[in-house]
Amino acid sequence: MRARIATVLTGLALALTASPARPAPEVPGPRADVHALVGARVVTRPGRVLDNATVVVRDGLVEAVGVDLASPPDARVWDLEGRTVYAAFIESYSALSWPDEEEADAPATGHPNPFVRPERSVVDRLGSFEPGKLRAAGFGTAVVVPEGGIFAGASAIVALGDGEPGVNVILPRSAQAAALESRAFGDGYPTSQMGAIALFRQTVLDATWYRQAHAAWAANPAQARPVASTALAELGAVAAGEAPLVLATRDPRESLKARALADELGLDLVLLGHGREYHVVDQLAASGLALLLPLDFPDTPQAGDEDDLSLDLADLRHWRDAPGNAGRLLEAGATVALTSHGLGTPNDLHEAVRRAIEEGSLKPEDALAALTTTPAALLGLERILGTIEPGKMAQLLEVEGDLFAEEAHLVAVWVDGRRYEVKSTEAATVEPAGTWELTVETGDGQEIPTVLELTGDAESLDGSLRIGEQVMRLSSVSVSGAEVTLALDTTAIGIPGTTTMTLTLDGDQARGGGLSPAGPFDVRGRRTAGPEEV
Amino acid sequence: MTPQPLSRPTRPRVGAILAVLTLALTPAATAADPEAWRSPWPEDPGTVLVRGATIWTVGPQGVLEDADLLVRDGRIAAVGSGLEAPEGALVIEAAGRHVTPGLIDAHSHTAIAGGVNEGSHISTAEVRVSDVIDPEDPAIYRQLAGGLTAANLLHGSANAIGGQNAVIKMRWGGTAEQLLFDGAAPGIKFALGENPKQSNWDADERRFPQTRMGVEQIIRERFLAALDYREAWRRHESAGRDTVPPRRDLELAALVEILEGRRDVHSHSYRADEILMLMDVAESFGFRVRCFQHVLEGYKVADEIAAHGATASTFSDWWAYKYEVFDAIPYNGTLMWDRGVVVSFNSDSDELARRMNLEAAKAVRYGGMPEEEALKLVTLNPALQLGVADRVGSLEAGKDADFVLWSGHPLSTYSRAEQTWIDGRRFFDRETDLAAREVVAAERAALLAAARSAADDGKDDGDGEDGDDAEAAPDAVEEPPGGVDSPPAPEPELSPSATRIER
Repeated sequence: MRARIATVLTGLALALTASPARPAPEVPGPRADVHALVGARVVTRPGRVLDNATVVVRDGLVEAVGVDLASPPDARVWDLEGRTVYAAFIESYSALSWPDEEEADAPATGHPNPFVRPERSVVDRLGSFEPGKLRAAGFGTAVVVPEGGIFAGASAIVALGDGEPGVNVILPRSAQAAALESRAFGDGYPTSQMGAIALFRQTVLDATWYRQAHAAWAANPAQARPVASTALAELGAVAAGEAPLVLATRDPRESLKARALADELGLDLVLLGHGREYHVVDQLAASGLALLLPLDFPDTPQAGDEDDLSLDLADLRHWRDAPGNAGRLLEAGATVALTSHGLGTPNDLHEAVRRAIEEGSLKPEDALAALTTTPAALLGLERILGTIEPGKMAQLLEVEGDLFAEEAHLVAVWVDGRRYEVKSTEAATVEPAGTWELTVETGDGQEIPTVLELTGDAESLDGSLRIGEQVMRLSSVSVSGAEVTLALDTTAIGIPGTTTMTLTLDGDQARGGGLSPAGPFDVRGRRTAGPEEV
Repeated sequence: MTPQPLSRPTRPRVGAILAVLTLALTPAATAADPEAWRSPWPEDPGTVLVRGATIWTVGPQGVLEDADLLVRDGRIAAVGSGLEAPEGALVIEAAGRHVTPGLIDAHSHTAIAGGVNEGSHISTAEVRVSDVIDPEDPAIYRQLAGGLTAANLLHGSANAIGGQNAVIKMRWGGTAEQLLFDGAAPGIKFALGENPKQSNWDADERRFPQTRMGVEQIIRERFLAALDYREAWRRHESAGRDTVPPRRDLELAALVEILEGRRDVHSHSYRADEILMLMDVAESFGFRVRCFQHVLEGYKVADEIAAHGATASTFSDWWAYKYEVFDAIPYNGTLMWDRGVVVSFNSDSDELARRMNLEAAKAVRYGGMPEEEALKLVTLNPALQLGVADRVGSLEAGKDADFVLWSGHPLSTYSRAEQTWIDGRRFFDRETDLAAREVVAAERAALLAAARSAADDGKDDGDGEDGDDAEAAPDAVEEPPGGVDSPPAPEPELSPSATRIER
């Protein structure tokens, strides 16, 4: 702890004297403090509960968990009496759509059809991935899945911390993603779903052929060389059933078609579902295919009088039956993970799971498993994710009340041993634009002058923070009530990673605190120039 | 005529039958829900005796008055007079009723999801209608209610070589796989004339070919490619170890199946010249066209069609809807039949497929085809064209128990299908349907009331609701079941009636 504070001071002092920034470490890792979460009820895995227990977090990992466990002397102690700690959720399908391909961008040795781009890797596009909303909903980890086309590319598994993507990536190339219909039909082949399925089938066969052909040529090069294809090379493992394929489905018919294709082609399929799996519950359960189930239940139909024929009976029934989907599949023995995919915002997950429990037959511990242990196992990451056990990643939830109960309140989400408080947003009651001269006070009383510049109205703020000569652009800034929350990358001043700060405004006065990768700090100051003078 | 309830016994014989009849009085568990997946698979009564009907066997027995049809384990056991009901049999008293084989539609685009045409390439022999059968298409049930028991689901006519067909039985309530008619011959759609040469397409969607000459050439070109493909595989089979294998090509593999007589060509066609052209192409490659579809100028080349060994599936009375059909006449079917061509009438339409018996009747009106022959246009003849005549198409011992109980003469516009049976199971029953409508209406009313109630609750305590608020605590708002007040998202539009563009 003392060493950390010294590092902060060194870093800030360097920044203040306008020296060149200390070079960042080559591979910046999560810079977690040591924490002891004490006095909480700890659900280490679905169905296993420890009362008044302690969780010790060190270097981003769970070091120990148990009752009557002493806090390490170097730990920051969090008194969580009255709270329950769970393993953070795993989002098994967070879609990231791929931009339309320009002709010039087509890979030189890729597939001739632009809907077949398995060599793509969504890890290359993580710069446009926003972890904040998922994290605020209780997710600590997400599978980011590329969308677009029939074979869309490799997904990536990431921790939902702030900071550079490289810090957060757990697995850069995970399951290949596919759909049975291109999302971008145009003039070219295919223009129909039967064409899309034919292309899917032909491509899998081609990938199998590609392996055989190149193996034959490697063994006997005295013959015509088979064509090189990055796309077919990439799909070899999928075609051989050695690697999973996440297939997005849209209705029960596609679910069963996917099952048939898995049998026909020997594929290891995981299905992104659609919510109507209960139509074919027995067939799907018997198939053994894992299901990632969305929870975007229909809104209440706007019903007229008894003679209202504008609403389809099937839609009315689905409105009634949709919350029962997950429970019925689990009862039938299916492997089910739940996803926030398709919800307006990931935070709607809690309400949806609650409905699946209350209106359906989903058991709360099964819901928790479907968000933690089941996706961890599906991803092959059960050794590092899904439960609260020594050696696993410190991905935790702090909850007031029982998770999924109506009065539950998600207080904080821990990602890689870093605590992110979950705040509810209210309408802004202040307009914070202007120049704010602030003093940052670190843990041992060191005072550092900074200048915060904010522009725009409360709904669309932007700005920067200056320390010494270093001006750092804010990566996010938002207002809730009279509170301004902001985040920025402080690598430039020798503190690699994201620093967050929260200020409560009272007229031109500001007071608050924050957390940098190096430790917590307090802030106070005032507005010295209004927005019109900036 | 005052229809009697079919299940009421008029001459009960033994106690066992009485017990069964009581069962039959209550609506049996037939498939009558508006959603297929909720419709129960009809139970197998084991043995069924339809008694006292006028039976159109469409077989050597001809039309039998006051006759009985005995069904056992899904197959027809006997057709004749005075058949005894075995113990436990379900007996249907059908005096005054007519029984025909289940109707068969040799050209349908019903229940095809996600587009009827893969129209991008001139040859898409690799695409399969069987991949996209939509068992939830309500047209299946509507056609079942019109006595249809099987249909040939064809790819559209946008390209010269279209996709592979799927023959289904109208087993409402089954999955796509359960609808497939397992005994049907594999087939494929071809198309000639205006559609494949893009006569009526946007000028900026140009694709080779743009002429009838080009259509012939591209078909020949693809068959030559298929021959090369087959040869490459033959060479590979005798090649040594570690030889790079040819790539499996699903388009060419399907064309090889045609060349080897293992896949039947069903070709969209209108004009006499193009019909002669395709037969010439087929003969030069050593196979026969199985069936010309539409074939509206078939009457001009009926002898050539018969000599080639092709069959013809035509419309009853469609003409003049585009340039290449100006010579169409409603006598086409009768004239081709008269020259020895196996002729069927098809629907090419979700709506028309509900009343194929009336299409058949038009052959009596135009050209005076005998009634039994006319009924063959929608039963035995399409069965022959689809390679399933050993299973369906006539009421003969050993065939599948696919039959229709009509309220009257099957070619009369005043008759309607009262029961439709497939594989010895009652998939449609008019009484059950009428009873189910009341149940469905009650369920619908209850759901509407529940929706109104939920919406009212939402207005009472909806204050502070903000569904788009990412940072809101999950406990912030009490939301009624049913969620926020916005209209339901529209279902993805996959209705086959909306996607059918082909004639």
